[in-house]
Amino acid sequence: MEDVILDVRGVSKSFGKNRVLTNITMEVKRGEVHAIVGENGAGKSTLIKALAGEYPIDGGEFILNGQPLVKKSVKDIQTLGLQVIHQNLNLVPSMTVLQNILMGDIPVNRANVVSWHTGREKALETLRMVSDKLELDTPVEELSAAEKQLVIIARAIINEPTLLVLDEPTARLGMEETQSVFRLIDKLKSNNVTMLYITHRLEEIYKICDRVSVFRDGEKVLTSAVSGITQSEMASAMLGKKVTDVIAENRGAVSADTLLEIKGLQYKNTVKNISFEIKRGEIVGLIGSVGAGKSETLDMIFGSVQPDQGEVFLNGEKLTGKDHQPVKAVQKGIAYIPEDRQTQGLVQDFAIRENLSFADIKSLSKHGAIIDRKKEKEAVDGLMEKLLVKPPDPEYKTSQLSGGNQQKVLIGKWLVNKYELYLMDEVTAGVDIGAKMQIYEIITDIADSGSAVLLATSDITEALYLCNRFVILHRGEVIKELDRADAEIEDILLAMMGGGNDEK
Amino acid sequence: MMRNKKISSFLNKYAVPIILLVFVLLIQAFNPGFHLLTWTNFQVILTQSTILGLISLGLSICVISGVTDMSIGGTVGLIGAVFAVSMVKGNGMVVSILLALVVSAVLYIIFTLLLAKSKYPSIIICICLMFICMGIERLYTDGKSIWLNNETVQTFATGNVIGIPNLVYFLIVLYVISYIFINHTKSGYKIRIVGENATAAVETGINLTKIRILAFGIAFALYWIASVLEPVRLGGSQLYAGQTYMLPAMAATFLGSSMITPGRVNLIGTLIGSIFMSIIMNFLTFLGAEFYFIPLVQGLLLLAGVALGTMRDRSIKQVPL
Amino acid sequence: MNDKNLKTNVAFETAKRYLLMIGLVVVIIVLFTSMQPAFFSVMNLRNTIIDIALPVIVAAGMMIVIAGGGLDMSIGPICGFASLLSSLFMVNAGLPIAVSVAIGIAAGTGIGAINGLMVSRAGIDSFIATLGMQFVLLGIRYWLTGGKTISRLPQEFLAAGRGDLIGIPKLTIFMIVIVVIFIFVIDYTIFGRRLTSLGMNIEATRLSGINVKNMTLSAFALSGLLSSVCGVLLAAKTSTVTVDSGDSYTLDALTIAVFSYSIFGRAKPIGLVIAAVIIVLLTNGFSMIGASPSWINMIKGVIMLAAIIVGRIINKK
Repeated sequence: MEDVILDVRGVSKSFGKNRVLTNITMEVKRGEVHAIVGENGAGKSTLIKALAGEYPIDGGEFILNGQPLVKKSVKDIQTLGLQVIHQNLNLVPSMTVLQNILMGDIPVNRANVVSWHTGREKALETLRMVSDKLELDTPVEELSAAEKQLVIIARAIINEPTLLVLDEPTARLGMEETQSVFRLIDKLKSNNVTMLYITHRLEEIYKICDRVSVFRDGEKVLTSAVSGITQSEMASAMLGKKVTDVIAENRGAVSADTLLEIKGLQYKNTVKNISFEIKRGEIVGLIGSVGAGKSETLDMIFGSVQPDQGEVFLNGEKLTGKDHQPVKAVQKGIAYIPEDRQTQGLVQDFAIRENLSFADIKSLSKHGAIIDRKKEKEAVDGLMEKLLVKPPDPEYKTSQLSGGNQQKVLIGKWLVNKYELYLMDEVTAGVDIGAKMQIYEIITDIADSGSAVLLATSDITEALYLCNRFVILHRGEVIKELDRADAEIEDILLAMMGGGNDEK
Repeated sequence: MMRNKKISSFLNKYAVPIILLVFVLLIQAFNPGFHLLTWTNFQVILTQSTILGLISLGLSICVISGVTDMSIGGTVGLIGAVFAVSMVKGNGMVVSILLALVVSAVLYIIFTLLLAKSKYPSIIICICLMFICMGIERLYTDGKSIWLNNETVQTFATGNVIGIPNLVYFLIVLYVISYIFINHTKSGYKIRIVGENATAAVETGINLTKIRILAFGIAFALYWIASVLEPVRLGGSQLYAGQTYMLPAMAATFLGSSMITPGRVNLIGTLIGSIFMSIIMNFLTFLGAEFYFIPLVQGLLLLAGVALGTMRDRSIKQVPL
Repeated sequence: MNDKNLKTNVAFETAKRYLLMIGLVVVIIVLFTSMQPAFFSVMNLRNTIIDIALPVIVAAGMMIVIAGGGLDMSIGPICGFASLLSSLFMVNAGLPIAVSVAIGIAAGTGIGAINGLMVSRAGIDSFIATLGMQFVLLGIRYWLTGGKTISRLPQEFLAAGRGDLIGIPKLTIFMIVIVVIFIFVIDYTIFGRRLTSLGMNIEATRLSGINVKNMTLSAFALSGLLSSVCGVLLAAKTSTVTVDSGDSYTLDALTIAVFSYSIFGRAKPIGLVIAAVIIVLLTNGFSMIGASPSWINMIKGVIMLAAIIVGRIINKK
């Protein structure tokens, strides 16, 4: 019998009407590096948060080191030997690297007074395992995203976990830093630390993992030894059959006139000198991993973030400047579909109708002030039909819709009138496959009607399916531009990792 | 380059206290009759700062833990009124103080039940509690101010040890303890972590609810002490005494957040803020300013203090309901 | 479970909440009538519809601010300030009534706009900004009057706040007009739709290309406008203006607006009127059974607290 460190038995979890985990059952063996792969929204992060005790689960149980974790607090679970390296960078900005690393177990002297000095040596030793450059006394607010990620890794491993969960730890890191994280993983493995490694970069798995579990739409699809599965088998398990079947489709030619021109955009240390162009009728994929600068680029085009440097031109007219705000951008014909539909996209307490008509309510009004209920109803009914929103009654509260339907409403909000440019940020994250195909169709329709789409995504298959052209970002820089015709999935992956240029 | 950085970091931390000091010195310079710099008057100001300082201290600890306690206007008054009424009824010092403690504890429990889990919108809940407490206070005191007429209390309130007024010892001791607690103990660090980044706290296994329960506990203990000292200092309890402290306490706290650690509430800043507010109030009394001037100045100081404190982040702060 | 969820149509949910509130009105009437039969009389009914008039007007202002994601603690003082200013111009400066009223209302709206600027441009928390304003106004009002009461307001002016028009008390007519405008603005105009969205999700509103700063500013200015309208009517109703006239309206406006907003989860003008009826019935009821007036402020606090908790439960937030 093999030694199982973590036993996941039939775990389920829903957020309101959205089912995010369905009956997950899996075993993690002691000493292995176990990869969990899946697209955005496949349920990976939710599983981890549930495991760590941050969310209660609806059904099933976790058994860690032989102990059931039901209703245990985060602290108790950590005492049992679990540490999680979360994807988001939650540190305390006003405190130093040292204080952040030791946050989980604040050192005190005999008089019970906090004494950072006591933990200093150990903290330094741990920090050196992830980085040679970082200093213990730097306040965290002065660090870059990559450096914060390294601090978070140090914060987790200083507690000497027996099971370490790493949620996309390399997403924000460059080649060099990624290599040092891989070395760290090797070292921990030789110390018999078990690791769960979450990623959507399939090639990383072959470098460091022993087994892999594939997640799709909140379910675990398969578990296999890494040596027993090919990259494309993994990919098709992740995506389901439907998408891979149609992947070869290629969009037709587009018009020659440039719609949007971006010159040398810069923002803090997240975006460095980005330039590219978009033509009418084109769907351009802005591809990169978490922290590559995709959202910031969209924000700067839309005016919701002011660039430190650089210019944006729409139809040859300069947009950037002091008064470049969302208000202006919308008037000029730019629509923005943000990444987070809960907090940035939709008003959850609105009826579907109110969300759908919201952005373009002026064109559905009399004298530009009074809402024309009849016009509004016609427009909304038309959209409901076109988008196949379920339930089909526009008077339902938006919060009651499933993720996929909410996403359709979020796009539909900008379809009352035609906009020249659609900025979309991870539009299919957390959406089931059926809704995803419908959303792809809507996006294609938008481009066919002569508008341009800038699609920011970390999902390469999605980009391959939809886009005419790819702009690949890595750590805030355009590392490569590719046409659909020349693109291979491997090229894009490599470029996303920051290796595209050196390899050739 | 290095030197510029040092200067700018120094100014960031100390520009506001320096401006306040200059302001106070200017007041002194142009009003020679206002003996700020004499020990006698400074004693008076420090005594006045005591109550305000302690209430601001409690408020600051709440804010540091991530909840702005707007209920002080009601709670502090109610606790003080209970103490004063009990004294007048002849219950004796110890019983009265304990009675005030019981009231504080009940208020603390209600406050904690409603706000420790951030289930409800904190500001509006605090406003409700404030009005409820004010209502009870008025019922309890019959809408009248209560005079203690107790000699022991009077002797204590006006007495001093080695030249420092008795009441001021409370301010000094409690500030030192709180400062050490917040800046040098595990729990103090946890309170700051919870207030600054709740998710980071959860991820490292800190129990949000427990830490808030602790922070509120300290705050209410401070409110209890301040509320008992207030009638002791004045020789009685005025109706809605809490209301008169709410605005200066908020002003002191937020003014304090513009110094030392700019943008974050901190205890030294709060102390400086409290003393500054007391000096200004004292000065207004000295001027014999018409009493309408006091709310006007308090209101303007609050607005100026908060504007300074939020200078770094001028985005719209909504009050969710 | 699923079937139950599927029935949650917005209109259906709203209807349920109206029923809940009307039920509460009935319970209050029955309770007080059983204690004091005079409670259920034409006289008291008439008093009620007069007494709700001013609270509904200020609560409408508060509701606009709350719908936009803020709180306005300076409603009462603005009300008092406008009433004071108009009266001063009428009595001391002898300006025509219309001019004096216009000055008072313009000044009150201006104060509201200053609140709005502090919140939208300086980024000050609206509770703190308006609380500061409350004290500033208190100072200004003392300064203007020296603490003295203003009386001897012109008869023609006082007539506006008294007596009936076509059998309905004039104050109530003012209220009805304002409520009708309020319904229209909230439910039928672009401004209303955007305001509602502003308080529910400011980021989504901003990213839909709406100027959230100006929306916030206008919400506070409108609150100032309604407060000063209330202030002028208050002067006409009471015929004397003191330095603290109107101060109690902050709590009234807050209780009514928070009550109705919590229950409905959004701004509902009719909900506001029913909430006002509930508060006024309670106030009148308590005074008719001889309870100390101190009770009523406490009860307002309790009602607000209860409404927030109940609102969270029924709106499943």
